[in-house]
Amino acid sequence: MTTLAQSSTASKKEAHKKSIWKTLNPYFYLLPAFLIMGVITYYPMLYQVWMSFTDYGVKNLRFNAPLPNYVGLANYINILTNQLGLSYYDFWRMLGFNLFWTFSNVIIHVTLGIFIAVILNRQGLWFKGFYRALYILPIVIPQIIVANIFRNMFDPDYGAINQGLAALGKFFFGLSPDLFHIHWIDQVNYPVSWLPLTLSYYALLITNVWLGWPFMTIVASGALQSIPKDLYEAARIDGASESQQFWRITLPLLRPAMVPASVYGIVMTFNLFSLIYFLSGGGPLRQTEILITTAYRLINEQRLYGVAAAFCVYIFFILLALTLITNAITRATESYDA
Amino acid sequence: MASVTYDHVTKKFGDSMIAVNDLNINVDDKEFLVLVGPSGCGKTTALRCLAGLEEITEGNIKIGDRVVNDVPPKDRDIAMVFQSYALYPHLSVFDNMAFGLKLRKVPKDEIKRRVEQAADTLGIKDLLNRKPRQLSGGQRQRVAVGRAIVREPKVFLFDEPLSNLDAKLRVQMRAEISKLHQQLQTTFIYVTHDQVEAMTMASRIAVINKGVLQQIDTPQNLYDSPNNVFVAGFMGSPAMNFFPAKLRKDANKMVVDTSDFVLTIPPDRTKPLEQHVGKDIIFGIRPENIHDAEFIPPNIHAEKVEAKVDVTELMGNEIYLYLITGKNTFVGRVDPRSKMRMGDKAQVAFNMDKFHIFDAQTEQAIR
Amino acid sequence: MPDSKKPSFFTRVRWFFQGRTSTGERGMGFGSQILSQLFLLLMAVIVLYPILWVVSMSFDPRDISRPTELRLNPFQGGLSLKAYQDVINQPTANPVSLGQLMFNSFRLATLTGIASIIVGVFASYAFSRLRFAGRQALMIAVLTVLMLPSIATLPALFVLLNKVQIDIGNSVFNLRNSLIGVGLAVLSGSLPFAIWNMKGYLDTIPKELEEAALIDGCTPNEAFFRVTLPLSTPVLAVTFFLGFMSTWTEFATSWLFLTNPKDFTLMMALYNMVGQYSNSTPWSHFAAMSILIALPVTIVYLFVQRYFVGGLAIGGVKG
Repeated sequence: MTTLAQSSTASKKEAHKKSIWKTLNPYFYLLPAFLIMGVITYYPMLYQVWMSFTDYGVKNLRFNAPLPNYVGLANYINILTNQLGLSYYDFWRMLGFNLFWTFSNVIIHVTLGIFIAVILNRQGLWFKGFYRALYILPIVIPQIIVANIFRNMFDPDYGAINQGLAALGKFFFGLSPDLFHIHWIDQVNYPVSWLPLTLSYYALLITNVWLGWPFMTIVASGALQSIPKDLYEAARIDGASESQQFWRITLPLLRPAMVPASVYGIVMTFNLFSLIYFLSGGGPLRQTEILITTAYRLINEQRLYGVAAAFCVYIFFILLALTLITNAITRATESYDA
Repeated sequence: MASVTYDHVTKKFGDSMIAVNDLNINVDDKEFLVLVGPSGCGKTTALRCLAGLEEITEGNIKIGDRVVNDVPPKDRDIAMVFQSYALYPHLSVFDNMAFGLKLRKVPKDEIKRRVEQAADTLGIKDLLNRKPRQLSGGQRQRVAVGRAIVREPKVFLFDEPLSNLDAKLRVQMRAEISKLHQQLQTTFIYVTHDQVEAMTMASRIAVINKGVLQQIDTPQNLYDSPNNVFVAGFMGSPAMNFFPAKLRKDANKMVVDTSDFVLTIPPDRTKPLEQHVGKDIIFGIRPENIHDAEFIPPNIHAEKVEAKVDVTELMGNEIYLYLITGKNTFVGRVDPRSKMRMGDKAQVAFNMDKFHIFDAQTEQAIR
Repeated sequence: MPDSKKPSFFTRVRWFFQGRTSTGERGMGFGSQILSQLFLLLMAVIVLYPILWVVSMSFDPRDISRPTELRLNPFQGGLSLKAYQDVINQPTANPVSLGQLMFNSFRLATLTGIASIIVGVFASYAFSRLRFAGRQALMIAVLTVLMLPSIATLPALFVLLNKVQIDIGNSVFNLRNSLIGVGLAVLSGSLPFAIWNMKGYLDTIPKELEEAALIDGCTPNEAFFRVTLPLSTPVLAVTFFLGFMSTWTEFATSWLFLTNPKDFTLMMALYNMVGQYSNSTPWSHFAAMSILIALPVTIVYLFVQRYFVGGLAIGGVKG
């Protein structure tokens, strides 16, 4: 009897030891990643919050330099009240532009993407494979290279855009090529007088539409192919016209795929650093500057690390709000097969 | 080769969700036990507890004489065939089957011998070099079984292994698994929701509902004398007909009064029912014990009932009659010569040698 | 289909012009076919226009700083590889060869790509399969970083990495001013993405495979190494490639951190060719440089894009 009891306590101890290992096991899997992220991600993020309350600048960079001065909320206030010493800097206009930039892009991407996907999906279309293969190109070419190429193409005197327009103008309307020295990037006047958007905004928009629609077409094509054909047959029997079929069947059934794709597009476009930095450089007069390019300027050109830190904290909260709102919208639009 | 014991086994998920509730089963060595029940009843969880894939909350599970509660799956000496087959997609058929043996450091030529022998038994010798994705559903099924065989485990576990096959293949594999059990002379524990599979393969069946064992017995006993309304209704297709009724004494005779019709109980079966006279009961009778009054088999106690034919289904060797009397609907499997057609007034005969009476409150059989 | 006989060549030609599908089903009418073709062709021209422009420019034989006419045909006026030769020898005013730049970018992209999948796959496995206290909180921690663009942590990374200085003989090694420092900063942003991307794929590997391995004789850890890890090679490759691609063309961090031309990356050199002091750089050089940077990753991307465009990339965001 005693031996039995002893052996059972021993095995219990053994089992206890085993269960401790079992509980700890997941943390061993997490350890490498979180050790590294702790040092190079989370610690810097916290450090940045501290920096944002200081006047951290070049003087504090030197080895053994004194700690920066605590300045309270000064950085945060200066950012919002446009007292950064940056010419033409206006936080609220920039935030508005950033949002307008984001949504104008994504709306065009999605509309054009769906439109082309629907055409490509039509039965009996010629050269389908050719178009499909060709339209993938804007996705696979590195974005930053595309930005540079378009910067070059928008050159007022020798760029491919103006030269192309001149060739078309001459061919169709007999216009003089001298008319086409459009200053896409640095013209300060608004081309549409009642819209406070410079020509460089349109140049950026053209470039980003070139970059962005194929992704939406691919997502929409995948969704279109998964719509059962008999739905359309049923609709035809019910007497739905082609356009009714599009609005009543195609579009609602595309939504589950397009909503997450749009959310992805919104987040990507909101932070589209490389395109704006390389194409317009935020110009002219900071008219096409967005939050993320301004943050980079504060670090790279102004070297105001404390101010930049505070600016990035703002970016964090703005993105958090944007993400939560778009996520709420995603969740509200459930997929139909659920 | 070992027995398996579930001793007061309870499995909870979280605090509230009880998947298996105080399960007690003794599976004898070399037995083919089938756990059957509707989906979500806890039968798969019970099997996974035995495999060691779930930890049990209370009680003991024994394989042979050894309590295996804290033994990891790999040391339980069991093999399992999964519903999805769970073949390793990156390994060939041979390597799939050899996987467990390699881990156990079985010598190479021994592995080869065992895999080839199993492949021979299952008729998949030509497939050994293929990858799982190049196989048909039936072939995958065989590989999954083969992977279990080569291990030569004490206990085989099957988790709904046939549910992904088409109807024809399922019948065929059913026979093959039965044959395999005969050849291997090992304990099989098999989970299914299909009562036909359970009836055809099992040496004993355990019916489980809502995590509770309802009855465990041989297929024939389970079919002939179900313990309660659930088991009676679950086993058999079409299902047993149930009529809410009252037991009454009518001039020396004991009768069942369903308020639509009255049936006399043969004198040799009245004894256990004496105490329930005047109480609510449930009267149950299987469809095959309801006959067309014109084709009553000889030597049975037949009680005639008037009904209206709602639908008829011709099956060739028999006819299913869907009948209505008052507020009761029921099904009869009658002689194919029956002339009854939809909408007819019909006279059917209940075979009163084969009926079941259940307590209306507890739903337990009275016998 | 009334009969299963294959349609003859002439039937198929007829169907083609009637706008029928290859199985003879009714397709679109001729008018809308032509309209669609015109529109799709226009889109094709728009897609190809910049590519033709830059390719043609890179073959310009005339070594002039600006092209004076619209060149879209690479063969127009002769082909020359001189721009490529010049760029390979020395792309910018800095005395650094293209080989050196490529080597720097390649090292950076390969090592951060490998590091992110090796370190990330374990965490993604834990998130996908294992249950542990704090799972939700740690997942939010990963998602938070995923949401942030990498530039938003640069102020602190710059300052902190700048503090790591080691005296080696007559020179000082500053972590910030080194490719290792850039690599760490890049990894800080790419690791959460790798974790999330791989988790999305691991979620699709059936749990039963690991359970089968447990019964076959594996410990839980062996089941991961012998079954799940080999099965996740596709996502490891894709995640590595996405990481490689983004680091190969990374600009903001390296431009901010690096001051020594020997450490410069391809994108930094390209920026030097287009920036405000680059009026003397012939556009043919810029074009050749762009193609040399983009071509390798574009070719690989073309072959692998069907594995993740619209699938994994979105899956990572959808969570």
